[in-house]
Amino acid sequence: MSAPTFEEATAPVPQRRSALRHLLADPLGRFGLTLVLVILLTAIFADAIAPYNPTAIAVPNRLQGPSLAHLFGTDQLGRDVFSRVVLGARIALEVALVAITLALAVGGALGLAAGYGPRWLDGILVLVFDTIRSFPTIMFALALVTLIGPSLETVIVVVVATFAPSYGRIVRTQTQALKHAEFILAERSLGAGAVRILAVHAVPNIVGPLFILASMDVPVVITIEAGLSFLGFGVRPPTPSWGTVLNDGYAFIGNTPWIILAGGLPLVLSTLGFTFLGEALRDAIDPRLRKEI
Amino acid sequence: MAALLEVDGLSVDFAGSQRPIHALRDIRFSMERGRIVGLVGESGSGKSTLSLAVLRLLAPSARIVSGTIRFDGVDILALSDEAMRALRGRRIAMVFQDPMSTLNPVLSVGAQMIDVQFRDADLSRKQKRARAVSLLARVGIPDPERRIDDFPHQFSGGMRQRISIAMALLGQPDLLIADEPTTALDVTLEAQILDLLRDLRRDFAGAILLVSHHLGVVAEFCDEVVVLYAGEMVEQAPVGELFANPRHPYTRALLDCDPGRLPADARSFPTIPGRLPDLGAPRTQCVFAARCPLAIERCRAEPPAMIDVAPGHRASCHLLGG
Repeated sequence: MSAPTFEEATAPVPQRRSALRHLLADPLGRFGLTLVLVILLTAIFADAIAPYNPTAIAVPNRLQGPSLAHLFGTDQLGRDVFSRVVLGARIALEVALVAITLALAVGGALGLAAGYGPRWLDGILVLVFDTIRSFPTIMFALALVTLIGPSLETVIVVVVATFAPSYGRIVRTQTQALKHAEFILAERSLGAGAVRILAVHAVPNIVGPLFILASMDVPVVITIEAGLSFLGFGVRPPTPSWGTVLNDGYAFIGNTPWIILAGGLPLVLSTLGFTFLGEALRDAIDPRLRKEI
Repeated sequence: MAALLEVDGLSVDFAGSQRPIHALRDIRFSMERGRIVGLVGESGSGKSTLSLAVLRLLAPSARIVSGTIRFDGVDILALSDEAMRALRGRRIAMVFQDPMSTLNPVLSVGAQMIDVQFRDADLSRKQKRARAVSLLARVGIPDPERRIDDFPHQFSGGMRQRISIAMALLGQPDLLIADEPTTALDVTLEAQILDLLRDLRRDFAGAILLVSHHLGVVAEFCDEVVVLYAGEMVEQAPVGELFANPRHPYTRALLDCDPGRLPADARSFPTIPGRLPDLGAPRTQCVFAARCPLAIERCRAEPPAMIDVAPGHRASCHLLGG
């Protein structure tokens, strides 16, 4: 979005619509928002929704099929899979939201500094971004787990380190393009300083594309968390996570495929939900993309 | 009292691939408070470079080689970045050429106009908004109370230029630099914007430096004219004097090319043959010598100096007997 595009002079538009109304006017946006809300509410009220203690072991009931008592059946230790999936949503969202917020803050700040600051700073920061980006996530995670042990925090650190450089590069490129925009020069001619230019004028121009990217990264982070937990690098058992549910089900995939489904379905739904929401948000937030509906 | 703006011996170079490009050479003029000065020249003559130099907003590839710019007696080239920023918007403001790109596309007009008053810490947001609304009304935006929340793309080009002017006036500057404010607009809008500027000048009492390549605009609007050619000043005069009695051959040629001054039965537009000289070349002759119909031997041998030809009227030409 380097050079802002403008449509030809338009007649005064009589009604204005808020971003939310734009979002709701888009069917995919409604669908995404619904899914995300369901996942969010599930995570928030997980304790109330889960019918059983997700870590309560009842070996006699192990590997039962789905029933009214156990919607998604039970796993090899007789734990209620539905309860584990519901509480897994909380872990998944916690990791995703905390990690992405941190990655946006770190990457955004460094990207703005690189894009607007002096050339030597840009050089250093880009080198740092590229160096970190050249590590495969999994290798980085392995190294970190060896150093500080598997935990939720480890997952968050891995995600921040993986995503912050990408956000940083995007913010840097956008800022560089904006730096030479005429309206930035106009603002400077009226006395605006670097901080004001960045905070008031650059960030709102960048935040739209970044927001959609971040919201589409939420499922990726959820998948990374699930993946690391699946491999035993993330959430420690017996804490429920979609990854550990998948791992538990994986061992018994031949006889009890519903455990895999119960762990995988939320991953699919959250990916769809956040992706649709992200795309609809982009259209709603960026006034240039707003269609008059 | 010192002049409001005094540019003295200003030279600006741009970094070229092999040698520097001399965008401005030895510019010398001054502007009194409350006056409207027109800065005229063809494309590439250094008009915009000069206006940006006054705000110290030249691109990083540009370098001020020599000279001083005094604003209200203060040498602005010696000011700290901080002090310079305090001048911008408050004492000197600028309106740019293309209203399509001088407003932030993702912020509402109101948000931008409120933000630009960041120095008035004692005003509430409501008061800032009220000021913005009244200025929008002043520059002729209909229904400003409601339209202030619209985004730039919801306004036409002429409206956007009005908004840019309103934004520049929010700080009540002593000097408004208008860099071809009407070039991107069609003729009817051009007249409207100029009428607006003329109108505003009555209540805002500041000086205006109007950059233009349109002589008609300058003739109608300005008190004084500075003519630039290839980065050099060739003539400065009060507007009536310049049009009645142009002394530099370039000014004369420029006047001859003004469609507004052509006889009604003219069949073709006159042009000035040749093209701008190489701006990287050293200054060994008159910049206009290659295109000048009256050039003599001396014009190619040495650059002319500025000569006073009448009170307030200066020109740089060997033929004036310097």
